[in-house]
Amino acid sequence: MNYSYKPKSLISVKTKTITLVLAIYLLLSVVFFFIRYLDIKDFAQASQNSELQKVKLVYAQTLKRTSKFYITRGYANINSFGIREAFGKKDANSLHKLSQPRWNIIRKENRYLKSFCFYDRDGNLLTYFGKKAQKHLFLAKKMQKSYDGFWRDGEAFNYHAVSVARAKDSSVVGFIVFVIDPKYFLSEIRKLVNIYTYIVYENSKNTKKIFMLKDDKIITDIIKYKQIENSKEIETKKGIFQPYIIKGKGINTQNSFKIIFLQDISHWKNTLQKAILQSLIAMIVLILITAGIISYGFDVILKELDESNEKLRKSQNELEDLNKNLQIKIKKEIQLKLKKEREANEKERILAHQSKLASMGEMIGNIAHQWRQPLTQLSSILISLELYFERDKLTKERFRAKVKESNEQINFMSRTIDDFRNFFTSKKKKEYYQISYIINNVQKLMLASLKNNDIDLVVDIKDDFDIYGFPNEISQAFINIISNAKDIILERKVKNGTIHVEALLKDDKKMIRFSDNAGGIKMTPIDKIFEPYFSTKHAKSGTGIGLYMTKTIIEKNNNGLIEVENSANGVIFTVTL
Amino acid sequence: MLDILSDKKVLYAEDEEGIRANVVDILELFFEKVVAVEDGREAMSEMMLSSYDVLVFDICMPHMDGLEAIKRIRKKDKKIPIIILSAHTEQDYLWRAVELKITKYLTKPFEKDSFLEALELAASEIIGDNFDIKLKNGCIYNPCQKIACWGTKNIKLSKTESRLLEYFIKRANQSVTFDDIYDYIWEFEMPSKEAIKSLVKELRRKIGSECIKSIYGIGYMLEL
Repeated sequence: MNYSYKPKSLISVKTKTITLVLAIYLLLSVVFFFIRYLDIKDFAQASQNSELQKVKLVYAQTLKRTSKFYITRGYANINSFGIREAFGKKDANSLHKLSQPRWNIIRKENRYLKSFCFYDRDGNLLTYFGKKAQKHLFLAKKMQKSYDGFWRDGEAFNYHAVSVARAKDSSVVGFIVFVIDPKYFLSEIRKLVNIYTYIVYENSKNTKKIFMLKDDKIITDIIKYKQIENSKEIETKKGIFQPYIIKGKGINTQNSFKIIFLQDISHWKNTLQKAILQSLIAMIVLILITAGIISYGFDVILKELDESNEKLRKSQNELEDLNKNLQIKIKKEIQLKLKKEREANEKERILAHQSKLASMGEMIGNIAHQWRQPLTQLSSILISLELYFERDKLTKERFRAKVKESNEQINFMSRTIDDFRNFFTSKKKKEYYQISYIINNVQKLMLASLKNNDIDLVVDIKDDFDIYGFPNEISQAFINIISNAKDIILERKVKNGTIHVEALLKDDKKMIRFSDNAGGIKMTPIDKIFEPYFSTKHAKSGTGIGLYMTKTIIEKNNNGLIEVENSANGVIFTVTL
Repeated sequence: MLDILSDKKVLYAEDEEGIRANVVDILELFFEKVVAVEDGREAMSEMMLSSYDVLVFDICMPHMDGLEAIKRIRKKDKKIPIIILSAHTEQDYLWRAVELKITKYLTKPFEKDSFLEALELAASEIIGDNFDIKLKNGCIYNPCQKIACWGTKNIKLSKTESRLLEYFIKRANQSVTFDDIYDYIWEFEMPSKEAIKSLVKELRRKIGSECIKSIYGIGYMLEL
């Protein structure tokens, strides 16, 4: 595996991360900014609209108020003394005389009041005050009641408030008309709402006519150069304006016109711009701070990362070295283990072989013991025969008896040899055997050896259970245990040496118990006696593998258990099969 | 030489019946009397009851082994020849046997020659180095042939006579009580004092009366 370290990629990661974070930040800022922009814009729009409504209201109310005011004035004049009669008589002089004081008052009230006119019932001009009035009131006959509205007459464009004068029988006798300059409305609107307003209409010659207040130079600039459309913003040096166009109400359709309001929205624009600027500055500042923090953080992290990377690289190198070493070590270890295993196997094999040899030696010793008696008997028979023969004392009876005795002994020896041969010819098949059969067999093989050493072997088969296995193998295990006890008894010169063999069932377990009175095992742990080449006996008698092989046979080959413990005066081996 | 044994008593201890019977057969050829026992303990009690000239012991026997029995016997009797007939060849046993001054250690199975050799050794131990024992009065006793020689005249001694004489020779210059003689010669039967006196009288007639002194009220003494 390659653990090589790449610092460059980390720097790139830093840049990438900062960029990414900033981009997200920027995006969020833009979104928030946009939302704020929309908010402000909406608010501005709402404000503008409300202002517009206000303007419209002001316009309408001014119109209404003016109409009411002047029509009322007109009626007041009509109801004045002599006016009606003068109308009836079409007496222009009387009307002029009688109305002179009123004009004087009214004229002062409104400087935009152009003229105060009197028409007869047919609409012909009787008399007037102020500027010259039109000769005929075209709508007088048609209307037959008071009315108001803008009226265009040639070049003239004025607001008319017309009051109807009636006689006592209600017949129309004349009209009183107040003619007012449209600028009056502009000035009223200006007075109530600070907004630029002008009036545009087209005269009969289709030329555009514009009314405006004297000092509204801005409007002049605007209308001179710009195409005015409803709601379309106009930028001028003085500021940004938004025009609203209302269709004015004329007395008849021919008198239609437009009132144009120019709303100054530069304030809102400024607000908006300011908001944008604030947001922008805030954004930039925040971005810078963020970038700084991230950069610093990254530097710290990178530094730590560098350090830890350095450590990592070091430890990686160490690890690699270690790995290499480990591999070598493992290889060595495996080789060693294999070697050990081989050695262990070899050892096991040697042990098994030695055990076989040892048990053969043991058996040969047993045979020797077994044979010593009949051999001695035979030799003594021969000696006696010879001696009797030499002395001519050998009777036929004696000779026959001795030959018979000899044959018996020879048969006994032959049987013994058979027993031992059976023991060594291992049967390959596992079978069921009665424990009494095995123990009696063992007893037969061991008896002479034990007897010659004056050791008692007491067999007590309490339960004659069956065991499954190779009988010779199990016999060998038992013989090893008994031989061991015998050797210890002899070595310690125990008087009345006795070995007990018990076979019993305990809790459904098949147990064979071997106990002796040889004084027990002194070493601890006591289980050490099962280790190979571990003998407490003198070299003469112990090979050190007997009990090891016994354990192997019982525990490995027959799934049994062998335990050892000291009793009051000896040792107890318990074999559980 | 083995004739020395012909008037002697042997005690044989062996637990194996088959061997014991055959060895008893053999021993009977050489000894006046053969007593066989099965173990060391029996041998000990047998030794208490009567006196023996030779012991043939097996080592490995129940109750008390041969060596233990011999050890006890040796405390009382340092001279009696002992032959061991054992299957054991272990050094341990040999060392113990050496301490007990064993005449011959025979291993089972034994051979005729070595067995005879052992018996001869026992016999020679009984009579000591001298084959011809010169008595005080010039009479020479040959224990092998059981003959008393007066110059060219040889007088054959009976088994009882030779047995008694050899007993006297063994305990020469010592007083031998009547009881000793009873035990040695007659074992269980208790003959009268007269029987001893007549036996001694007969012996005196053959070897000369001056050799055997009478000690009044006690017994006799052979002077060499």
